Parts: sequence; structure tokens; C-alpha cells
Amino acid sequence: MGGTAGRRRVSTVTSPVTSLDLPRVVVRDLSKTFRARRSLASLLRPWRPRAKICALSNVDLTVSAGELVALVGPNGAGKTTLLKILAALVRPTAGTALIDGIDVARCPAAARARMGYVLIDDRSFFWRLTARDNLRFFSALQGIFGGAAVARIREVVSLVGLSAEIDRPFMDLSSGQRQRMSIARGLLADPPVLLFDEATRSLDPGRAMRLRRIIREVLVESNQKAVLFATHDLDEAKTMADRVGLIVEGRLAAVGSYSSLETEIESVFASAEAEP
Amino acid sequence: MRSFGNFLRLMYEFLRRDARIALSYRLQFFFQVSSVLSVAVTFFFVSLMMRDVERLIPSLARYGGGYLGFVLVGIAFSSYLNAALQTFASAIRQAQMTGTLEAMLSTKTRIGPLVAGSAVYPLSVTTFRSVLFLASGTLLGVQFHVDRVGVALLVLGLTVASTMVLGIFSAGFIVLFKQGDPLTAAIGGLSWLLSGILYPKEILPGWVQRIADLLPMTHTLEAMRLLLLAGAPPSAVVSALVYLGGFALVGIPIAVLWFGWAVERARIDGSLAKY
Repeated sequence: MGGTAGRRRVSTVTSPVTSLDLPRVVVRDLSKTFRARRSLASLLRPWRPRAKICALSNVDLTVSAGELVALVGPNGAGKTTLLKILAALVRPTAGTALIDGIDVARCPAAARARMGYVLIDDRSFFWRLTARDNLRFFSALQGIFGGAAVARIREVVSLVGLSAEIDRPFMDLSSGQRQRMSIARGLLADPPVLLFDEATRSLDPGRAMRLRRIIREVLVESNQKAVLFATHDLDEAKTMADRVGLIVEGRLAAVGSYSSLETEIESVFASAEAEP
Repeated sequence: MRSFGNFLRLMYEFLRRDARIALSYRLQFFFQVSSVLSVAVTFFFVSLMMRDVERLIPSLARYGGGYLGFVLVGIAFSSYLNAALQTFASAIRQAQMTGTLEAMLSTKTRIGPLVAGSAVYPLSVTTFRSVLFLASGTLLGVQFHVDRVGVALLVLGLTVASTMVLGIFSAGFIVLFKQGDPLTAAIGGLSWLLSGILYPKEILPGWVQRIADLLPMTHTLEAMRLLLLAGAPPSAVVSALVYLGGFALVGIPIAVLWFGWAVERARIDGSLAKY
């Protein structure tokens, strides 16, 4: 199983990692099983156990500071489930997920304070508020108020190149600007870990390229963020990632550089495309 | 102390957010004010029609004898129940549907303060509407005992706390089942029917009145009318204060436990932000 390279023992503690050498994200033997929704027929037979769907199985993975790991895999492979477990939105069935040394299942609020889940979804903002008011509200949710919030908002919008648009209503921003707003929101608490889910989905090639450059050059290289980036765009994974984790049917099939896994990745995607 | 200060600042940010969104729909504000005035004027004419008979209704005599004051107090304060029942649940439902819930839940703020914060603006608007109802009553000739406002505010505080119990329960249902919250329909419907919002509960059959006495709103309305319309002394509303306080004291921890369990269940099912 890949993903063990560079992995160190990190105890399940509630204090943040202080050394840059230690992985910022540590996932060990992580599994998630969902119970299938009850059908009308099954409601008539409540004594029968509900079917289970295995979304993740024994996943091991680490991401270090200043490293971008791309999670690739066909739709439904388990990429989003893994990100949601790390964001403490979904509770794992077994295994451990640590963000900056903090167990996300045991101390979800503390873990979330050290993680930015960059949700690239237009609908996750308040459209009738300005960009500034949106960021001010999300700063408050991160425990940043008043002058500190004003200063932090100025920093993050400058980082993603949105300073000129800050007082425009969110609904008037272009799709590329909205996606940069999502990154700005994820950076508000200056977290050491950033999780991206299909960040460039629905962007035109030029905007996608610009967003990738911000993530790679500004966040990973200049600011030493540990980035876990889910995508099913193989070119994106190839150009951006230090390492790639290939997820297939809930299992982490391989982890390594894109070039070392290229044949395996392309074969998985080819068979997914061939499925009816 | 610092964390309580931050909690208050967070609540202010919720209020600011919702007020800004509401003010971006300028006509909505105008219609909210005009609807209060039109309801007040409608009941003014109903009370004119009842002018000759209202003094023959003994159950009205307990509260000063006039129907207009009776009904305006009923409508003004029953709106807190509607606000509490709908606010908590609809805050979650709306955030699930607009997609903001997942973004808010991935911050360090827990879901409890998120739900509480979402209630700040609706409760403020309800208070504004209630004051508007009472002010329009004054303009239409109702005399309120202003000297009882202090005790009335205590009743109001306990009313908000006890209706919050129902609101939090309701929000738990929405977290689990997304739609089909039975509490809003059951408690809201029963309160509208039995609590004496538009008519005195004393005109109901005895056994129905006993059911009405289980509803917090029945006690709220009785206390508010005794204080504001009849000018009764605080001792006259002690039983209402005890009931509302007891309901909140027992109900809030149970409701919070239920809500926490519902959230944990949704986290296991991965359905927290689904709708």
C-alpha cells in the first residue's frame, strides 16, 4: 500500500503539530461504511439488517507541509468521503484521521480550526452580501472578529487577487472570482492544511490554469500549506501534485509520483469509462 | 468570560448578516410593517362589531373586557411560538438547501451556536412586530398597563426559553429526516387552536382546557393579558412563571441532548448537509 512513505508515528493527541517535518495530515486504516437507505419494501421487514455500502476501506495516507497530494479516481471512488472525514463532516467507521496531530473524530472543532475545507460551490456563499461581508461572517465563524478580521480579510483577498472586487455583491462576481473567494474563505484562519474538492470543476481552461497556479505557487510553495486535492482531471494531477493517491472503489490502490503510477491510473480510468 | 464575549460577537455577526440580507429585499420590510397594521385594523373592526356583546363575555372580563386588546396580545406573543418552531428548523433546512451549511460546519464553530445564531434575527423581527402590534393597539384605543412591563418582560424571556425547547426539538427532526417535522405541525396547530390566541380558552370544553394547559403558550398569553390588560399584580402570574420556567429548565437539556444525538447520527450517515 502506498502512502506510507515518510509516515511517522503520531499519537492521537489534542495538541497541534509543531514541527514542519511531521506530516500535517495523517490517515491510518481509515474505513467508512454507510448504511443503505431503506426501501419501502424493507420497511415491511424491519428485522432484516440494512445493507451496507463500503465507501472507504483501510486507507493510509500522509500529507506534509509544502506538499500537494492529488487524490484521483473515478466518480464515486471515495475521494469526497475522505475529504469530508478530514473536515469532520462525516464520522469514520474505523481508523484514525489526524489534522496537525488532532484526531478529527475526537476533537472535530479543534481539527477544523487547523484545516480549510475549500468548498468550491457558488451556493455556499450568501449571494446578496458583498464579498467582504461574506468573508467577515466566515471570519467570525473561525473566531476572528473586529480589527483582526479586517486585517485578515485584506491579506487573503490580496493573496488570491480579489482586492478590487471586495465590495461587490457576491452574485456579481464571475465564476472564477467566486472560486477564488472559496480559497480566500478557506485561508481565513490561516490553517496549515487545505482540502480541495474538484476545485477547478466547471471553470474554463484559462481560469482553471490561474487557480492551479495560485494553489501550487502561492499556497504550497510560498506558504508551505499541506494540500489534499481531489480531482478526476488527470492533467491537473500531473501538473500540480507532488504525489498522487489513486482511489478505486474506496481503496487507496497506490500512492506515488504521477509518472510512476501513470500506467495504473490510466488503466483505472479507461476501465471506468468502459463501464456502462 | 472571553469565550462568552466571543459568543455574543458571533451572535451579533449572525444578526448583521441576516439584517443585511433582509434589507437587500427592501419591499419585504414595507410589507412586514403594513401586514401588522392591516391585521390590527381588521381586528379593530371585529371588535367594533362585538362592542355591545363583549362585556357579556365573562372570560373576557378577566382581562379587562375589551376584545381588541385581548386579540392583539394573543397575536403579538403567539408569534414567538411560530418564530421558535420555524426558525431553528428552517435555519438548518435553508442552509442545507442553499449549500451554506457545509461551509459553516467546516469552520471551528459547532452546530449549536450556528443554530442559535440563525435565530437571533427572526426573534428580533418577532419582537419588533410584537411591539408594533401593541403600538397599533394603543393608537386604536387599547390601554395597556405600562407599569407591568418589567414582569411582562420576565414572562417574555421565559416564553422565548420554553419555545426554544420546541424549536430545538424541531431542528433535530430536520437534521435527521430533512422534511416532515411533526412538532411544528402538532404544537403549532394545537397552540393556535387551544391556547386562546383569538378567543378565551375558557369557552372550550373542560377536558380540552386541561390539554390547553399543557401548552406553554396558554400560560404566556394568560400572564401577558393579566399583566398588560388587567393590570394584575405579579403574584397573579406566579403559576405561569413557574410553569414556563420549569418547562424551559427541564426541556432545554433534553432538547440539546436530542439535537446533539441527531447531529451525531447524521454525521455517521454522512447526511448532515444533504437535503
